[in-house]
Amino acid sequence: MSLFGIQVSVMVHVLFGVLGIILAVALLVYVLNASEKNLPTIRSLSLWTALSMILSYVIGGWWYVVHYPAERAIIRAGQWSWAHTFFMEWKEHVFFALLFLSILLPVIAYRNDLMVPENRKLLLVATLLVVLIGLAVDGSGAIISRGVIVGYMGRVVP
Amino acid sequence: MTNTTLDKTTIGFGLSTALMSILNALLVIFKEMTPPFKKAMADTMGHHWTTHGVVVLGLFIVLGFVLAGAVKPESWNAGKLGSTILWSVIVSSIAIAAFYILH
Repeated sequence: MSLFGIQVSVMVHVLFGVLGIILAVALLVYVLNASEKNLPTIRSLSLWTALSMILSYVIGGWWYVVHYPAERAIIRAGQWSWAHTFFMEWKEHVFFALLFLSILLPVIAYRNDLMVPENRKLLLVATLLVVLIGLAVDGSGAIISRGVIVGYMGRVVP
Repeated sequence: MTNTTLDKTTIGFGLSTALMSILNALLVIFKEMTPPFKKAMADTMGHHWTTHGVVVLGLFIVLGFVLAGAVKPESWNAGKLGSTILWSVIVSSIAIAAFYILH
């Protein structure tokens, strides 16, 4: 794959992750204002959030396994080696909890009576966790990207 | 009339989310502390993380259906299930973070 293709693929991974967070925030708002009328929207948003996170995982996972090792070497040789040893290691493993929660969203939304406040609260808890972990993972990704730049700074003459 | 009982599949996959979040954290710690095990995971599917993902996601699905079939809906309400999921995800996320800070 070309250098352009590799960079585009990692950006598509981020795009689906961010889209998943935005959809989860929208889901949160709709659940807080639940009515018989917006139940189809709630169910649809739960499904699209799950699909977006799964796509982010598949594309990001492929990029991580195939193309990340070259960047990891640069990060680890630089002054921000912790961008890999903490943030990437944490992100790549906590992402699984994000996936479990994302898959759980449509299960809750489609199979339960959301006019019951307790059931809506369960959906809110799962959605809120998706948003918070999603933001933490996204922020970690940004730090890892800066880690690559800091790694390169040690290699070029200012 | 509203149905206040949680669906069995929701309970099964909710509990699977809680259990697998904890098991995921334990697998992270175990593989990092046991290099031969991590190497065996890497040898199995080309990368330890790929094997890790297939194992935890596969177990999540299987456990979800098994627990859905085994659980008694009257034993789990939405509040109890929500708290179980919330605390297991918080504890496992902190455990993974603490491990990599100390490791």
